[in-house]
Amino acid sequence: MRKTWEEPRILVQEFVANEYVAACGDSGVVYNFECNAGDRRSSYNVYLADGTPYATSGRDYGGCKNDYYSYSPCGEKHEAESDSGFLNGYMYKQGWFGENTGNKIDVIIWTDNYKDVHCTTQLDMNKWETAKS
Amino acid sequence: MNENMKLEFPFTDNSGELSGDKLDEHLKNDNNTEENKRYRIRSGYILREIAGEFAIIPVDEESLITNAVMAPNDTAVFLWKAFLYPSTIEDVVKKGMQEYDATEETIRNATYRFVEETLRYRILEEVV
Repeated sequence: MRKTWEEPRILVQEFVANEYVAACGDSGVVYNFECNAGDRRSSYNVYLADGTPYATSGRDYGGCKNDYYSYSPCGEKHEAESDSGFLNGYMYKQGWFGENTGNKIDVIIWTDNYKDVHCTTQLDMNKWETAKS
Repeated sequence: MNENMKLEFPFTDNSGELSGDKLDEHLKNDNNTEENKRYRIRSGYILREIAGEFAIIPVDEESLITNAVMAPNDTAVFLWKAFLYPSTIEDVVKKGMQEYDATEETIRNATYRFVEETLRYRILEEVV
């Protein structure tokens, strides 16, 4: 049996950005950031890659209003959205008087939107575990 | 016919200076006439059936329609499938008459409009 003919039509449906995805940040990736740089029983002076003190004893003669005095690894995994403030930096172990001692340790700092300090020595973000991608 | 008058067919090859029945036959076989033009769907589109409904997805970045899905109705799917392989409008009209209950004129007019529109959006291309 032959079918009924109707005027051929093609409806074009354009995609519209999904608000839920947009709210997840620029890429929507959430990392399981492991705060594991250094020894848990030690304190460290942390600097941004350009030398700006970020979490130091304040005895480095640089000083910084946003200085968090020191950093120690908490050893925990934090769910961190990709746009929540990751910075390249480095750190030194603090001596008795808060001065830098030992070797320079390169790190990536997770600032949790610039209100905390967590560091990892895994500098390749592609190797980080993801909670959501 | 006046011997000084010379018929001209600017879009046909009549280098053999044909006339009368021979010219008619030549015109029928001439590949440059509208009826003999063959068209096909460009390669940058995928037609898929999903849960009984058809969808056309542009996959080529050069496509004029991007970031979209096209939903064709039944006759548009028929025309789309018919032009997946190089076909003339007449080939498609003949197929349409076998498959649909409609006059030849209705199918031909709709096919011409389909060809015109899809050529404009660079969905269809002429096969040389």
